[in-house]
Amino acid sequence: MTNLYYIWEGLTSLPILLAAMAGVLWGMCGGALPGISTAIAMSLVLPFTYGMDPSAALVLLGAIYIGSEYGGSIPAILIRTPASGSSAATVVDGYAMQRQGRGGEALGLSLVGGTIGGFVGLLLLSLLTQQLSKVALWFTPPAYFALGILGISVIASLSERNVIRGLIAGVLGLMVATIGTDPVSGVMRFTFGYPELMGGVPVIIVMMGVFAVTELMIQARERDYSEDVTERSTRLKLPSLKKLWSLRVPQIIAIVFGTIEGLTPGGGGSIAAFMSYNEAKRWSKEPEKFGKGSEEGVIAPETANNVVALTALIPTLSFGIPGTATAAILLAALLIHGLHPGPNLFTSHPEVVYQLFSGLFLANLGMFVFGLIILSPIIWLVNRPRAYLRAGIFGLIFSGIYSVNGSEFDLYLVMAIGVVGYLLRSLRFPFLPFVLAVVLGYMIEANYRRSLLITNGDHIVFLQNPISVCLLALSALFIVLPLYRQFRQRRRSSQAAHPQQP
Amino acid sequence: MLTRIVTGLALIVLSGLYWLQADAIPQSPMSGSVGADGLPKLLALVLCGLSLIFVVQSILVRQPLAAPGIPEDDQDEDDAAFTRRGHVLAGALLAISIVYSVILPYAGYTVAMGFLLLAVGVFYHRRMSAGIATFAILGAVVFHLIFITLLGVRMPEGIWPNVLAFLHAHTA
Repeated sequence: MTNLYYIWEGLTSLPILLAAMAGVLWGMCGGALPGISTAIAMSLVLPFTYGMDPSAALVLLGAIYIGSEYGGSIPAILIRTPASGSSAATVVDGYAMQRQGRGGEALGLSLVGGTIGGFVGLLLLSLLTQQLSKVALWFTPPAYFALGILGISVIASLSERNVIRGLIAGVLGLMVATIGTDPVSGVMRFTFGYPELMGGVPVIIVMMGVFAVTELMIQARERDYSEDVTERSTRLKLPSLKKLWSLRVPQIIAIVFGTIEGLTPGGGGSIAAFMSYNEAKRWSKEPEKFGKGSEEGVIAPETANNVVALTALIPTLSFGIPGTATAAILLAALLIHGLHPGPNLFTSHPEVVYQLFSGLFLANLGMFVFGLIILSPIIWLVNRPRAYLRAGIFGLIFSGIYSVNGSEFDLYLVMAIGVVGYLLRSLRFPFLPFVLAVVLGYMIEANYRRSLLITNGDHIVFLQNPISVCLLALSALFIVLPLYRQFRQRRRSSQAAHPQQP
Repeated sequence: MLTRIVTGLALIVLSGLYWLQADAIPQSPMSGSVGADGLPKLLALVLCGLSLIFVVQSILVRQPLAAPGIPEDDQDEDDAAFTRRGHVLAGALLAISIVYSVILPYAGYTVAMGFLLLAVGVFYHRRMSAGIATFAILGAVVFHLIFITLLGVRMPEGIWPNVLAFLHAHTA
């Protein structure tokens, strides 16, 4: 009963309401700006939360998290530039829809999917925080390693006709991730004398390079084409209830993967989005539409993103284990206000926890309302003359990249990565495995090394842990099945081309 | 097919170079049984193996399978961009970006941004116009307001503070 009182107090408190609205607005804008990732948007606000009431401070940061997860999908759909890893999966079909003049429809699906995902995630957060957080404790280094391998295998298997290329792109991504300080001994690797590379290649640089710079380089060819004067869909188009019902399977898949990944420290929105995308494709009645503007391909990752945004807070609040980098900032805010995560948080400061839940509820509502208001001007923006739009995007990318570390070196780095992305694309290598491998590279190597430290170099450790065994077996399945299908298809077509003589 | 074979061979060379670089990583007593070069060497081997398979696949599949229902290998809509002309234009945009990065510390953020907006605008518009010039000036001011004034990001100021100080010292 007391908990209900705290929830009601949170819903009716003006500071909580203002924090939720301001947070979600800033999160959407920050998330939509290429280069201003969720983590940057949250960390820029962190100093301002010192003097705030703890509940309002946490709601502000949580609302930025929610808004940013959705905001990231806006440039992903409109200009093929995901502002965060978790919106990278949306690029594939979202941008394809945009190119077909269905950008408003894709944004509507993203908004509704994100809102549904947010509410489901919030429900799970409030129900499971104390009960199901034990799952996170079962994960040991071998399981984390296997989780990373599973993530890359899933993405490599996305390109079914191209598994080998997908795996090569994944290995190249892991190679990029090995640049910088060794996670165990601190030895410098592949820095070639550049001190800026000591910390490795930042993931945001890789994403901006591969997605934004590469895309702009590819789009340079458009200079020779006449301007498309027909206005593309200029109005946000929300999906009908009938449409939403027809998209229930990808949403359910997204909720399942979003919950699992949110509960799993280190999993994060990227894996959930990609896995949901992959499974939505696998379970779809029209898998051939994926990559060419599939509605299921948009709603699945977008729902998963927002489920993770909330469920990632479960291990953060229960055990102080942040599931994502952004959850780590929320953890920092908790500590700044003298609040220690864990079971005691629910007994010593229940008002903070339940008011946070209330604030996140308001933030989800706010995301839907603001989404309706600010999306239309952004769609209008995309329909402006190409010269202005492209120049503006260039400005955003280079300003955003510089603002990450305040380093000119990053500008050259992002261009180098852009060239790598251009080469990958021109040689028809899938680039998503490359990006995901860079994102997961540190987690994979750190846990690989830690696991082997336990057994003094004996790889049997990965077969002794049941979670690790299951995840590695799943990874093998994801790679072998498409290869087998490919082999069977080729055999069939070979038989069709050269029928056996009687 | 030739492109695929060359790509595969280039990847094999890359894996070799990467192995050599990994082999040159200094050993540390804190590295444990695997060492800082452990995963990189493993990755080099995996890349080499996958690249070999890729080359063999390319040789075995001499021509795209044209059986009904089997799509041609990897054709996508981006193909039009990857022509010689496309590569030249992509290189031109890259050159504009490099010039921006080079002049940024000297010209300062706002002036360099004005250049970037102008150059990219002219690139796409194919000619200079009053509209593009106005856009570049206003755009640079808007970017200044967003990133420096609103977000408080410390962008390069360029030579302008020194120039102003010099002028101030000589006019005072």
